[in-house]
Amino acid sequence: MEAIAPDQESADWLRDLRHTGASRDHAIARLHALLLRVARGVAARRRPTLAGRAGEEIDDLCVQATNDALMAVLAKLDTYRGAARFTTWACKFAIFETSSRLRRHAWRQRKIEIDDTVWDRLPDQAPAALQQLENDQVILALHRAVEEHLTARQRLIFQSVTLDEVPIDVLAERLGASRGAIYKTLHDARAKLRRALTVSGYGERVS
Amino acid sequence: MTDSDLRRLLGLPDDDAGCDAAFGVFDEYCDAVRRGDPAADIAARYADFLTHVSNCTTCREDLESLLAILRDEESGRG
Repeated sequence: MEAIAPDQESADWLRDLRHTGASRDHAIARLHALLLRVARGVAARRRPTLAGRAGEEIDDLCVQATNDALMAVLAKLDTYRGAARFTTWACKFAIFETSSRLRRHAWRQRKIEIDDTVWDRLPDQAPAALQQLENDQVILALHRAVEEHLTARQRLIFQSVTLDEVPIDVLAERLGASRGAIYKTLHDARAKLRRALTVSGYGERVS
Repeated sequence: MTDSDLRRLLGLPDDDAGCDAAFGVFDEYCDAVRRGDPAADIAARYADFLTHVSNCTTCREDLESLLAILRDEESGRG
């Protein structure tokens, strides 16, 4: 990826963060304050999913996420290409660290396992009879494809993410894999299921 | 099961950047939106990224957070 000349404000950030001494310390303190504001903003947006969690506990989590995001930004400073403003680039690390922590926190007492009763809950509520028949057939074909074409790991990941709405980073932590690796498994599983449904005559609905 | 339910389960079949590549362009995409670049240009430039955020709820949430932060900043609430 080619580097792009950054705007003046971004260039100033880079200069200060690459300096030694007081100007660097000052830039790091300003960056930490910015990232903490972002982390708290993310937590405020996700407040409905954090019901029952103490504010202090969530704020601690924001501070930890900010510290890790700051470390990531400083460690990756040389990979900043200038394609976005420096502050936007830095903020994405705070969002990634904070969101991942908050999602894991929200799921910390929940088990992740294959729950086959979820298939029974899939049909729409009270659709027309003909629609219901078609729905049932598609769901049956999809359920069969899951059982016949996916590996145990693909099945766990597909069902957890798409049917039980487990966040990918929560699953990554539980399975000891990276977020990218979990998504790749999901992507491959979906491709297999699309092929299987096409063979079963539902090609138009999955293309 | 509607076509939209099926799409949610199976995702879009188009080229998908994946989580790692998507993370790499999150900031570029958001700044393009913030600057008000033409929507058609953005859609063409970030096609694989947009397929990914359509297919990946977790990345979509992160993207929405970054866009919200930038909107707040523009409106002086950041």
